[in-house]
Amino acid sequence: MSDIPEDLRYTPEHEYVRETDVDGEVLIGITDYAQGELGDVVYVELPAPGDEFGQMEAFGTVEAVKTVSELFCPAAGAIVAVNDALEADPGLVNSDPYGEGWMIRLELEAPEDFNDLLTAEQYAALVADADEI
Amino acid sequence: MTARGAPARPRGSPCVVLPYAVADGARNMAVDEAMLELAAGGSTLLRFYGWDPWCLSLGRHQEAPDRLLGRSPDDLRPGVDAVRRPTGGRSVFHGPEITYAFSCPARAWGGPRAVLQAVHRALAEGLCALGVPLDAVRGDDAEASVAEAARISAASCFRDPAPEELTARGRKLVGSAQCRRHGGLLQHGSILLEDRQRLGDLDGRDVGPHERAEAEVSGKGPAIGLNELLDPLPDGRLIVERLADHVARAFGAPAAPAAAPANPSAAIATSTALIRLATRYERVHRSGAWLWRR
Repeated sequence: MSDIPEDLRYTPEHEYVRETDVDGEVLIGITDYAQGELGDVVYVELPAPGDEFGQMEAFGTVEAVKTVSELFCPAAGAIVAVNDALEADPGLVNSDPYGEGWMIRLELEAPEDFNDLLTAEQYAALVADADEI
Repeated sequence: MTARGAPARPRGSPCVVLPYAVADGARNMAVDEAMLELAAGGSTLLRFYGWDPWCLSLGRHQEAPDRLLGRSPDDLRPGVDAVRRPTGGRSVFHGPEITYAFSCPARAWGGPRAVLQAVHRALAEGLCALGVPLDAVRGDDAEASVAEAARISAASCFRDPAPEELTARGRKLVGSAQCRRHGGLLQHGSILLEDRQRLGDLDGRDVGPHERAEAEVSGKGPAIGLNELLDPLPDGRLIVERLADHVARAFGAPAAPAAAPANPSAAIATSTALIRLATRYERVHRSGAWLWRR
């Protein structure tokens, strides 16, 4: 059973979005369910601070056991920071996806977009459906 | 979605088998990327292909050696091409081999692991039908080897078998890699006709120290080709037909050889769409910016 924290928002592509103490800035990573599906992460390719992305535009890739998966930006915005620790230890995505395994810090173009993302309840339903396939 | 307890699982559209083709590295990768794009739209596709000229492929995130960065692929080895795959893993030397590409909607056939298992199982059935004495398939339990196979390094993909990959006489015969994008899944891989993988090691070593010592004694590397397993080696078209038939049937298609698809009109229509899409991806794969990006 994967961990789906109540206080986060989610995308159908299995990214999570966490609000920060700065208005309009969020932390983004992949969910516990996603890291479990991927297996051991061996490389994370992230953008540079200042890069801008549209909603659901690919912002990077993650590789696990010879499978490369694209990462999608949950909302339009500009990269404020990336998690450099993942370069040396990509396994943080597996061991602590909602903590030290975060990927990018994004300044939302429209902060209200946060509210359009999936709630924990909605995401849990999506994961349950996926597991039935 | 299937209701809980229902006997049937949702499935993707039946697999369409595309004609066998031989092309250079950039074209082959462009067509595979086009297959991935069509898969995101709902198609399940399979093709087998060859390489002319022979070609070294790098994994999506694999670092190219400093001595090669920014140089022409011809500098690698005279007459040998080079490309970077959209998929993960490590370098592969594409010489005497049969290459396959399979694409489908990412969740339609159970997800990446299920697809990896199903494609390899079908390839194994096809190879066994040809008389190839395969080893038992390795699962996720071989932890040390799994970690080594997953690690991105300068070593050839064929130096370490990953879970579910096919081996014979303890040596790797089939290696595969995957890519997921916009709801589509691409898996491609190499079935070796001869072992030339020493040419695919970017670090200039053919095998690790232990394996090197073994190879010096036995004259054998960590990979194996069908030429060492089948005597005589069947015609390539027969091998492709057998493998295509087994894989396509595993993914919902009626029995049919690759050279004569069961649904020719679907194959022709798909091929036309692929050619159009592949032209766009080909520009990327012919660029040094993509090839030498790491």
